[in-house]
Amino acid sequence: MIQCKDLYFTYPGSAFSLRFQNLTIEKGDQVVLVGPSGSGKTTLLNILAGLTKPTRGTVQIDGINLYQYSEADRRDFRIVKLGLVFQEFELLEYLTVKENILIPYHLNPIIDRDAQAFKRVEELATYVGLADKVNRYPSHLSQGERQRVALCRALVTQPQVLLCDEPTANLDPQNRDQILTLVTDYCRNNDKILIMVTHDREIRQQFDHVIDMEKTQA
Amino acid sequence: MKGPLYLAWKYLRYHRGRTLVLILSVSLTIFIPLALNQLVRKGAELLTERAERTPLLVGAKGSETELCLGALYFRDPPQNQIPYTEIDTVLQMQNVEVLPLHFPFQVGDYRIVGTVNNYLDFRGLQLASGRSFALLGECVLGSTAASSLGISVGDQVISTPSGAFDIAGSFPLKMDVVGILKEQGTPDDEAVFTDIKTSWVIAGLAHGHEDVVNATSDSLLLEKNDTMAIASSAVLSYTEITDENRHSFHFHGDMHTFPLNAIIVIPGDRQTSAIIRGRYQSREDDVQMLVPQQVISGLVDTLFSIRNLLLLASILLGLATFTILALVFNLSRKLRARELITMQKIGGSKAVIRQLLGLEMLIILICSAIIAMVFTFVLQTVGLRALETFIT
Repeated sequence: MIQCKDLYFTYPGSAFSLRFQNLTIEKGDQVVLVGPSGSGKTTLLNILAGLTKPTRGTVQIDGINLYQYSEADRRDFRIVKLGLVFQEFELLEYLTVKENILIPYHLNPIIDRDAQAFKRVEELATYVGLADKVNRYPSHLSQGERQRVALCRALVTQPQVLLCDEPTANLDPQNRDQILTLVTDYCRNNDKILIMVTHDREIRQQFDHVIDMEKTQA
Repeated sequence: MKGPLYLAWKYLRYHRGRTLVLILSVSLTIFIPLALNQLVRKGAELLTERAERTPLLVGAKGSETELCLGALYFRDPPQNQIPYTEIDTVLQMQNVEVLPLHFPFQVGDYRIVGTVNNYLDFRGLQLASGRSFALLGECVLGSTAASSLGISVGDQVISTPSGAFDIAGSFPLKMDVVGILKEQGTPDDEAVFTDIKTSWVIAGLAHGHEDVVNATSDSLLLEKNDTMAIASSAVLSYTEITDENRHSFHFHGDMHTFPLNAIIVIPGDRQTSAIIRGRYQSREDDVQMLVPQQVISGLVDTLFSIRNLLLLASILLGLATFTILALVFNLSRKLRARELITMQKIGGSKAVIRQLLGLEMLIILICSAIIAMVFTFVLQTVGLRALETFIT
């Protein structure tokens, strides 16, 4: 469960501010953050990911007050509990699909790259339809395929929460729908929290909860 | 460490072209000063070694370096020559051995060294096959000269004639190869040793021809009386010394005036050496005596000075290379900013990112050092041998 209380964030010297009196997201919830550019969608996602410290307020994930801990502890927490998917995929061009999926294990020794991890790579690659392309480099994949690899990378550590920052923005409608189905189905079947930022108002129907940042902040 | 090392390796491997260029430029930066140092040190060693084994040298006044390089390494002979009678002057001292050297001629690229048999003993030259030269027209080949010319004992070599426009030039002489020397790794390997008199035959100071005194054909004679016989141009001069015509070879003029390029002087002791050097110092004619070791050591000093300058240039070049390398890494880091931020977002610490970038540099430096060592090893095994050949 995610609980935000009295959340307030502002950039120094900026008129922008983000406020949440109370935000609670239960296990298995699928939440979409919508709103125009500059409404604070990505900022909220970064706060929930432990990347941007709020000016005031608390963020609790599974009872742990995220910003009570040091940056290093938050990083360790993030790699174990949270999965991140970005708009631009952010795959490493010099690693194959399999290696890209396994990259969290190379970056942080807190998680062990055991046999289970390799098994999960296979399972996830099969789940997203890339089982036959695990040894290819990202440059040999389509946009949709790259985003599927990014999704696998976010899920390989079995996080409790999946945070997606406009993952379908660079995809055509067909790929967008495929990715969306893959993400929502996976989270639903595995009882994960899904929080997705999007501009796309068409996809909000597929989510349990919609947070319209424009209205919330107003 | 394992994870960043793996990622660093993958990054460098994926960008193998760029990595290779970096590795090569760094390895060359390391290798050049190393190679320069080794080459100069080995060169100095080679130059000094032979000079140290040659106690004193007599030759015509002029460039000491030219005389030394000529007499020791059989390079181009000095411009001026000394008369054979200089040997008698030296031998006025007791307890002295002399080795005359006359080397203006060549067989192909190999210098013909007119000397005496004792020269071979003096240099510790051993025969691989055959025997030493004994008769006029016989020669002994150094190992490189023999293998390069494809010559073995019993074959013949022909001296290379002087230029076509040199009317006083030498004529080709066919010589019998009676011995091949063992390889020594010295300039002697590339020499064709013969008796000094044979060398003078090539110089045209001695020759052999048909007997004109007892000639039966009138066409061979322009004039003949009781005291002399004047040969016509129809008389054939021999270009080969054989058992049949060897007796007909004769010298014109006083042999004591015949030319030498240098004389190696071997004093029996230090006192003799000091006295003989003193004598030559007080001489005011066109002859000089020098200590090859001193001359070559001056040359080596110059070599080391040049090396130091080149080393300084290499160090500056190295600094420039490392500055460029730092710039390349810095630019690369900026270009990879998004990638590095993503790594941090998905769980990599700043320390891991620093490790990753540091390991990339370290791998390049280690690979460069290995390649530089391989280059240096190749230089030691192949390059220094080439240098020996070049110097010798």
